[in-house]
Amino acid sequence: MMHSGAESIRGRFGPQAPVRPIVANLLLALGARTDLPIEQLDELGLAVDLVLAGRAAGEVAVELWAGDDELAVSISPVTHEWPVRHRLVLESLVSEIETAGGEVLLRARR
Amino acid sequence: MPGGEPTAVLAVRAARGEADAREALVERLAPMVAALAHRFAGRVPAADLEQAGMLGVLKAVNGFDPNLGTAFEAYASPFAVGEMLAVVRQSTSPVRVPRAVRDIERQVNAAIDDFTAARGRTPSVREIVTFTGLDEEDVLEALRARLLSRPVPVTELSEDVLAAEDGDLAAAERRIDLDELLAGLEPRSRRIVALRFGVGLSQREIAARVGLSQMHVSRLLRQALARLQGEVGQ
Repeated sequence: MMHSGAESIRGRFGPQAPVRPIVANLLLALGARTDLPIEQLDELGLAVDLVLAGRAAGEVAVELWAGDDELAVSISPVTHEWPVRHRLVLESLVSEIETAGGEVLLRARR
Repeated sequence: MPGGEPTAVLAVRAARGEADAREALVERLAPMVAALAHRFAGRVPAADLEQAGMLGVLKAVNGFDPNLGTAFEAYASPFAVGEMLAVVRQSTSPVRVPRAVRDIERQVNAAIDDFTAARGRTPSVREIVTFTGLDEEDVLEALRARLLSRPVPVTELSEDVLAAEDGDLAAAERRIDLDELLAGLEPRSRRIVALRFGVGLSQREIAARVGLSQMHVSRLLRQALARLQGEVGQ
C-alpha cells in the first residue's frame, strides 16, 4: 500500500515489545502536526489498538504518515480474519480502512 | 438579585457568561458539590474534589436546557462526579502526576470543553495551543494523560445517568450486527456502544446526550473495545 505524506515514522516490534503505548505516543506526536480534531485522533487510536490485538505471531511492523488533513497508520502482519470480523467497528472509528495481504491501513481524514 | 432566582435561571445566565450568575450558582450548589465529594472522602483532599466538582457544575451550564424539565442540580451532578473521578484517578495512578502537570491538564481539558461547546467539534492540537497559550509540549503531555489513560470502571458511573430509555438503541442493535461487541456489556455501556457504532453519533454527540464528558465517553468505548482485543488470546 502506498501513501504519500509529509512525515512518516516506521517501526518494527518484537513479540514482547510494548507496541501499543509506543504507537499511541507516536500517533499523538504525529497527530499534532495535522489539523485533525483530537476526537478523530482518539478514535484512530482506538482502531489501532483493536487492530494490534489481532496481530499475527512474531514481529509487527507499524508505519505512520501525517499530512495536513490526515493521519494514516499501517500495521502488518495481522491475521486475515481479524479486520474482517471487526470491520464494522473499525469503519466507525476511521475515515477509511484498507486491507491487503495481512496489512491493514487505517486513515483518519478531516 | 441572583440569590432569589431559581437555579435553572442562574444556570442559563451563567451559560451566557454573566459573572454574577456564575458566582451565585457556585454559592448555591456548594453544599451539593460538598455532599458529592464526600463519596470519595479519604482518597483525595476534599478541597481538590470540591474544586473539581464545581468545575463540572460550571461545564454543565453550557449544555443545560431548562425546557426539558430536568432540575439543574440533577443535570449537573454527573458532570461534577465526572470531574471528581478524574481527580481520583490521577491521585490513585501508579505514576504520581505532579500538581503543575495536573493544573495544565485541567487547563487543557477546560479549553477542549469550551472550544467544543463553541465550535461544535473538538479542537486540533494546534488549536488547543492557540486557545490556551501553552507550549505544544505541555499540551501533548496533557493529551497523553487524557487519551492514553486507563478506562474508567463503569461501576463508578452513576447508573441513572445512563439508564434512561432510548428509542434509537433497539433499532440500532437490530439494524447492524453489534452482537459481538455488545454481548456481555452492562446496559449502560451497551447504550454508549450502540449510540456510537449503531446510531453513528460522535463521542461529542453522545456526551451531550447522556450527560457525560467526551472524555468519559471515550473511556467507556475504550473499555468496550478492550473486550474485543481480549479475544485474541482466548
